[in-house]
Amino acid sequence: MDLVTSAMLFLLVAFIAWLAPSIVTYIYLKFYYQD
Amino acid sequence: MIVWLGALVVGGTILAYIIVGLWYARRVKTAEDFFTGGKGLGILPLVGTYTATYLSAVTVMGIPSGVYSQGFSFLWLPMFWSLGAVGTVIIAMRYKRLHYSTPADFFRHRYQSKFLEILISAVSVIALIFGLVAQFTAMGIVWSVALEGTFTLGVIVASVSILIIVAAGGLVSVAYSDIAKAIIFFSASVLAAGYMVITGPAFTDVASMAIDRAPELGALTRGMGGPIGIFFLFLTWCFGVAAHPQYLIRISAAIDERVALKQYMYAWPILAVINLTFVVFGLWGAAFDPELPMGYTRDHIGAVVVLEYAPLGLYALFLAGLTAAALSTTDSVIQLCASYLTNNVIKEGFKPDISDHALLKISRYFSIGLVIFVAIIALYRWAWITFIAGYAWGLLAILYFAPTLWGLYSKRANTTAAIGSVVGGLLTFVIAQTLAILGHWPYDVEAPPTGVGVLVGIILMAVLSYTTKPPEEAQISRYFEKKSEQ
Repeated sequence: MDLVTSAMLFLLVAFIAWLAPSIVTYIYLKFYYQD
Repeated sequence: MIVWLGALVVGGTILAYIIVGLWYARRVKTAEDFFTGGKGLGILPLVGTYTATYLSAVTVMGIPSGVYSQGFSFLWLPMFWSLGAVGTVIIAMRYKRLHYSTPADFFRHRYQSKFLEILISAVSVIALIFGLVAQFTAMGIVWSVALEGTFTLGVIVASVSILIIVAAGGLVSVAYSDIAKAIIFFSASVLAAGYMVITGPAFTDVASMAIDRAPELGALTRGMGGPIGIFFLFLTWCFGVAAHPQYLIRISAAIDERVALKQYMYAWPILAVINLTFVVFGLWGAAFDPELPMGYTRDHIGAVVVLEYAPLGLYALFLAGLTAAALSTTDSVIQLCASYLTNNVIKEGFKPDISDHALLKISRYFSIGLVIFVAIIALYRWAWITFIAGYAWGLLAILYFAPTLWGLYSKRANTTAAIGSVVGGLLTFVIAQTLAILGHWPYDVEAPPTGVGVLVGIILMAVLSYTTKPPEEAQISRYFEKKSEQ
């Protein structure tokens, strides 16, 4: 894999990580509060 | 022309900010209002203030600056910030129902230790001062871009406007002016980056141009000191963000537990998009390498790129956004320092019978003194913004993360373990820092040697909790009650 492809994949991973707090909270509220 | 436009935009933003702050300052009647907004903030001000707090100088200038100079490996840092926010969510699940005014209150009640409360408060203020120096440096940078070269004036103008807001308002005015800041910044960065991506070459082409120009920018760990360097960054930043008092206090300020958690659910998709725009600014800087005027550092790159590759109107909006970002966090951190000093050191430590009125007055005088002190330090520009801020987040990680998380989730967490964790972590940091000053510390690429203190603190908390006597059941029962129905 060349440097550009791996860098782009890494950016994708980072973007998913940036959504993690939102996803975790959504799941918690859904199950714990039945929101 | 550009100088006048810059001055007008930055000046106008500061003025608007003062007006909004003073308007909401009328709501502050008691010290409790000043500390936690009377614990009645709804979802809109909370998402606004959370977003604006995340958009500090460290992120707004740090990410473009880091991507520009370190390349893709710098992305580890914002990843650790969002993973840290997952940690805050886990803490918030139990922290909110405890109704504390400042995060140091937790140490007094959970660990029954005044020593720990005062130690935590005092070291927190020191740690937060590092964060403030980073913010004031950023303000100096914004102003030097706007006016082409007057860093000192930028620091002074920012100090004055911050003084007015903080001394008057406390968390209520912070939260409401933060909504405006979050909106300005979001539109500015999305429009500017969007314009550059749509009108310029494709994003991947720019990335390959940057990597062709400097292949090390495409490496995923090398720019940050290799895997061990990244592990230390993880310790400093992930745990520093997770239990940062500026976020804990926003959990307390929420009207209820559900709203406290929802701020994370709504704020992070916004922040994910904004982070992406920072990557665009950094990459465009790395690929096209615009010439930095005399006296400019890599921390200027975001503003330089927008001025160079986006239309003038968007540049003006972006400057307003930068001003807002450099001002936000600053005000909330100053009021946090004031809360520690008055609520935890003066009231709990020395004068329990002090009147609410006197407490509010001391908070305001202390805020004024602090702003002047920090402004003077900031005038000596001594490191990259993210490096200065690493001290703040690293020290806060040592102080808060392990004792707070263990205290909320483990019945075995006791006073000995909490004191051992905090004191052991701090001592380790002091030793590591001494080694760094003497030139014997190998991992100082993008963060000071705070990570090793965080690691020792976490280990001590775990080991001491399970090897020493657990606290009395009655003393800690309220921390482990089932959730109250809401």
